[in-house]
Amino acid sequence: MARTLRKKLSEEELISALQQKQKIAIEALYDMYSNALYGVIHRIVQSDEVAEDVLQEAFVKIWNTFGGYDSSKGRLFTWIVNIARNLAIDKVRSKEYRNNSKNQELDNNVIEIDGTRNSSFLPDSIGLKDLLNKIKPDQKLVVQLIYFEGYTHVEAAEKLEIPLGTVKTRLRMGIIALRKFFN
Amino acid sequence: MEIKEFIASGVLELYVLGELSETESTEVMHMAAKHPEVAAELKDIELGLESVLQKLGKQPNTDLRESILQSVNYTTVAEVGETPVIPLHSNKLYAYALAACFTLLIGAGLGMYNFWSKWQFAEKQVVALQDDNRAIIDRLNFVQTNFTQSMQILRSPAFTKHMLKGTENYPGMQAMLHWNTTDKTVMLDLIQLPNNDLQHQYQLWAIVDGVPVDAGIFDVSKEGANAMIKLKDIQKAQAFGVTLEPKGGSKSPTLEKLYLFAQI
Repeated sequence: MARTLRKKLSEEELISALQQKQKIAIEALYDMYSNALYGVIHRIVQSDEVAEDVLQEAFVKIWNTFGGYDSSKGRLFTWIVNIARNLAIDKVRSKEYRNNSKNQELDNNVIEIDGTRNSSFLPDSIGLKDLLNKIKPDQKLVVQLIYFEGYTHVEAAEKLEIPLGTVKTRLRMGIIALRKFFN
Repeated sequence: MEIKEFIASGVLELYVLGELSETESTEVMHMAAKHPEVAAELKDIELGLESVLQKLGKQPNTDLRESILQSVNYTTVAEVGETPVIPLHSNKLYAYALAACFTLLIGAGLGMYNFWSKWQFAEKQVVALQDDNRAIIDRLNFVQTNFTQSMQILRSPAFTKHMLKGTENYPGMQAMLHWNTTDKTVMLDLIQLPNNDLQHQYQLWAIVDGVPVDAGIFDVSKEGANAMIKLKDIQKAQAFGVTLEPKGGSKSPTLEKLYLFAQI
């Protein structure tokens, strides 16, 4: 029952509360963004257990390094999602993770994610597969790799064997298509 | 055109995804500060990312919330050299406290106003009662004075009494004239005479050798009832009469309005 009262603050209020390390800051941060961050992390690490560990690490890192957040450089969400994404990428690239036989190779994730994973996402959310189908095929892979899988554009260019400039423009066109879909 | 190309290059998307080097990021920041369209596009990309990722969210195990809440320390500040700010109250509690203060303040204000108006009412009543009291005392003094004067007149052997009776036109009217034979003072005790209006006054006439002489004007009012009126001193007269005249009196009597008359 305690969970029914989800905390929600405006971005300004949340930033102020985070700066003051108020309890409500971590509560609101969790209630407002844990689903989105868990989704991001899970798409990269492909494991509930590992994703939960990374999510916890992400919140602790957001909390402890909040002094490094500069609102003039971007929105709070952008900053926290990048922390979560980078931690997830670090995790899948660590030796420990790669050595775990239960986990798939990073390269395979791209192919597998298009499969049957949509059922575990929130009921009111749209599936990643459906979403990616709104994008032109040549842009789709770029968006999937960079936007959702945490590939750098250099890695994506190598993997797809296309020039860096093409990766960037395809990413942009794909993201614009996504934005249109949500607006 | 340069800005359009900059936006179209996809560098802003990479900036938002945290993919740019420090130098490249600084360049984007610089462009955003300089060109509002770059800043607006950046914001759109950020909001787009946020709505896409919120939609694609996945709920973690519900136990994780408590675990994460316990893994951060929300009473100390991590950074060194910064004065720790430990809020005494959450904003919400502060708001409740403020609301409670306001409620108390308004309540106290209403109570004070209530007491104040009651006090004002009580004070007005005290003033009214004091006025009433004073009026009663004044009235009593007036009656006392009249009574004393009347008694002096009645007991004095110098005064002679002459009854002035209503004439044919005004039957039933009556007044008693007290005339001091020594100092010639004339006092009139009104027994039955209607009140005069503001345009008229009564006038007493002394008939001296067949000629009416003005002996003073007077008013008849409820307030002056039972008071003897002092009129002009009359040395000698064969008769007295009272007429109603225009206010201020007349030089000769209006005989149609002869209310009272008496031969001496």
